Amino acid sequence: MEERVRQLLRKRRYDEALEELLDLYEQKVFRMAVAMLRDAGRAEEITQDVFLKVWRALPGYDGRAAIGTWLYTIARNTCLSAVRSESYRRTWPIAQSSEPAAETTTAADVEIAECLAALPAMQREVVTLYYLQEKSVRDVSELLDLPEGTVKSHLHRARRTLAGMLT
Amino acid sequence: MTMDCRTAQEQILEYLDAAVWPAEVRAHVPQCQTCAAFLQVQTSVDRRLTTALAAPRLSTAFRPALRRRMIAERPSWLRDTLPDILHFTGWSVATAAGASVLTIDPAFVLVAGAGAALSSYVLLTVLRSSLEEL
Repeated sequence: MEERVRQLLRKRRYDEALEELLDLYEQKVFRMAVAMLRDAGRAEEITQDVFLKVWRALPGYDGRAAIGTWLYTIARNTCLSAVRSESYRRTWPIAQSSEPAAETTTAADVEIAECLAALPAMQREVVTLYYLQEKSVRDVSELLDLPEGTVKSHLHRARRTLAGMLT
Repeated sequence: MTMDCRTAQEQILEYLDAAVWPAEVRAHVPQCQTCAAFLQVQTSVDRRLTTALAAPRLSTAFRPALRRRMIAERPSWLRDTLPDILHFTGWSVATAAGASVLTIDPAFVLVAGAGAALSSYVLLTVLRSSLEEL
């Protein structure tokens, strides 16, 4: 898939390359934005910003970094800028759909939210991304640019702490 | 070979799914109340987090909205050159009208009109680029 994107870039077919990248990464980037911004609607706007930046930068992509790594760097920086520039309430839950849906916040959700909020920032980010990214350590490691071992270590500590809080 | 509880619990954290446990963990957990309880708690936490942190999906409006933003940013030859076309067309019409109405030499009017069109174009270009830098 990545080779297909590289081929399109060599032919300067940037719009088609972007379509391929959207197919591959849009959901992952969106979930990272949700994890960082905790607001699905705002996360969708930021995901648009990310892919707009990627589209603008595609002609200058030099191929030295893997395209996923390059894209995640843009995504992470864009999300961090959004977090810094806006004052987000650090509350949960984050599991909101950006499409109209029934409100499903329950006492259990609130309890989970409070426990997650009590975790150290990195553990919270890892555990949140792990579940949002459908339990892929590899995806979390790529998104956060951390070794898989480090992700697992944060995840283990977070699980032990959460078990203590939730039982 | 027996396994200590700490190692077993690390393995449980590593693989919550019993199907992928190493054989030693599979043998240890049913015989150890502490680890069996640990597994039960971890499975429950995992289930609760899976429910609470369900992966959201992008809305169906995402790609159309992104495409609109891309189109708005795409360089457009007509949009970029339309002010220049209007500028020179306006001056040409004014010069032609002046040459036909005024009683002075039409050649002079044409030269003056061309000069005015060019110098005002240069002024506008400078003004436009300095505004873009702001």
